[in-house]
Amino acid sequence: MTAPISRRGLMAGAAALMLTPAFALAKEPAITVMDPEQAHDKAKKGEVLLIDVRTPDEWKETGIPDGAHPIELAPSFLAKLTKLTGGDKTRPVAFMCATGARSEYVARELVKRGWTHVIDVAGGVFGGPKGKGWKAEGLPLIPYDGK
Amino acid sequence: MTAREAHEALGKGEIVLVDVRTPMEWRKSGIAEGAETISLNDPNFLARLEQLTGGDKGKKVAFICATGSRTAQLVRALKGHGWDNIIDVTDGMMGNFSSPGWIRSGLPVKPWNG
Repeated sequence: MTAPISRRGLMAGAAALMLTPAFALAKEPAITVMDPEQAHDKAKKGEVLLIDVRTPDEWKETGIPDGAHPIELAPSFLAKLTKLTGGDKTRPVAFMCATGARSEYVARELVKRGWTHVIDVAGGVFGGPKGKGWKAEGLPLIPYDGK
Repeated sequence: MTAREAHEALGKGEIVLVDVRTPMEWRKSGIAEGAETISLNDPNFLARLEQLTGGDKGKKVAFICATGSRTAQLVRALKGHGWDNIIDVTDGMMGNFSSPGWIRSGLPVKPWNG
């Protein structure tokens, strides 16, 4: 027997539940959403390890956020991150991408894997549902030479 | 279903492919060739989906996002409400920790400019 579903009911379930980033993140209390300015400041002070998870083409197009390490979201990601952090899962790590979708995925996956200080940079480089983004805040981007 | 499998099924006319990301994401990466666009952030998401399928909940609709995170939740939410043949494209457009995704698989992408 299939429960009847109203449009309102589905939207309440699907839209409100899934689509509101704040709710999605509330299920993962270990993820902190941080605005780009604060992420930049903490990365420059060495308080967080900031990672740009976009692709090399995207790094070339815009440059890399000042203070960020580029590690492409790919099957090789975890090995590279582990190398960079020495495997320390308590180290504060902040992730950013173009709009905040991929960074949220990475943040959730790391929490599942036992990382304890995981940060999602709101809105990524260009802005998205969580924030206006790095570029709109006027924060520096460093040219990426493709090495 | 992986992005590569979705591309094959799309070519055979077996599925409808719907990209549920945001307009900003469509613009930045382009969209899969042959894909429809209905953003999950669109308050009329369900109405647009019903319009696309002609109200046929048995239609094979495959959903794609960036990493497979949003579509996994979407498919979970819709299944059990009569949408029995919907498909999650698990590695999305941009890939994830296990699979390369549509773009890095070298599958065709077309620009989206709204």
